[in-house]
Amino acid sequence: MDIHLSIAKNFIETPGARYISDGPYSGQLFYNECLKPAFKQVIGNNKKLIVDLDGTEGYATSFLDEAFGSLSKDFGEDLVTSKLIFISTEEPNLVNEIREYIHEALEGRYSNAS
Amino acid sequence: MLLDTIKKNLVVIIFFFILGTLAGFLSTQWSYFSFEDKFNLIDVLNLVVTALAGYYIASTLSKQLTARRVEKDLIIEEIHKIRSLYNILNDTVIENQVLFAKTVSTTKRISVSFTALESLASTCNYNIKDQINNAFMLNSNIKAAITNDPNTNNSNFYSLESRSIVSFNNNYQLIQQKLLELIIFINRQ
Repeated sequence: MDIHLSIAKNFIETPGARYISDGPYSGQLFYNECLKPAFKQVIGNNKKLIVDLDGTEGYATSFLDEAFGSLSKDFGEDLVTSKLIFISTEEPNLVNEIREYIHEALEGRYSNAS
Repeated sequence: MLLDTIKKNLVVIIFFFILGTLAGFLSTQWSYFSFEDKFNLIDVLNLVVTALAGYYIASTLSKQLTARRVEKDLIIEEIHKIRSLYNILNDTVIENQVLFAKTVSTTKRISVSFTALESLASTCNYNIKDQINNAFMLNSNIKAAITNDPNTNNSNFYSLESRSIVSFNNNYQLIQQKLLELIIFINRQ
């Protein structure tokens, strides 16, 4: 059975910025505590990780880039894109943005050194 | 529908009928003008057709044009709302004291508004998919400029670096221009 991860319900409705040092509920914290553990559960089997982006107050570019960019750096773009399914009815275009962060992660296009 | 119109305006119709009959009677009493007591069938048919065409224009065509105008105005109003949201972001950048929560929620409102705008336009049979896709791209750049700055944090106000301000300004000018062009496009349809 696929793994469902709702950012609003499983993490916070008001996601923060990039790093833990930037403030609460950062992309880095989300990656370490929610996204990475959930993703590990779908590796090596037929399961998918379904990430629900709806229900929050909005996402900073830095949050999404840190969370999904880190996933791409650690596990590889191909594996990440094959395992992730997004739900985003409120902002359908957000999925395209995230796919770009996943693709650009290794090039360091969005990441900013803290 | 015609019957309803007649019922609603019965008094007016009767008044003008009486007035017309009286005018006709009085014109026969004074012989300044002479009238033929024959009629041309073609002229009568012409009169009937003209009257029916006038009724069609007034009732059906006019209604369609009015409905189309209302749809255009609705879409244009939604575009203006989006422009206002971008002005909120612009004011933030001008002051260069960015409040994270308000900024992020404003960018979400803009994104949701674009999706709603495309849906509304589609309902009214306007295809603006290309314009919306272009707008999403510019919107991503704007969002990145103010929420992916190295100083971004959600604990305090933060100030943007010069390159973020430049990026924002460039994309802000472009998106406002594109939105105005969209208004013109809708208006011309």
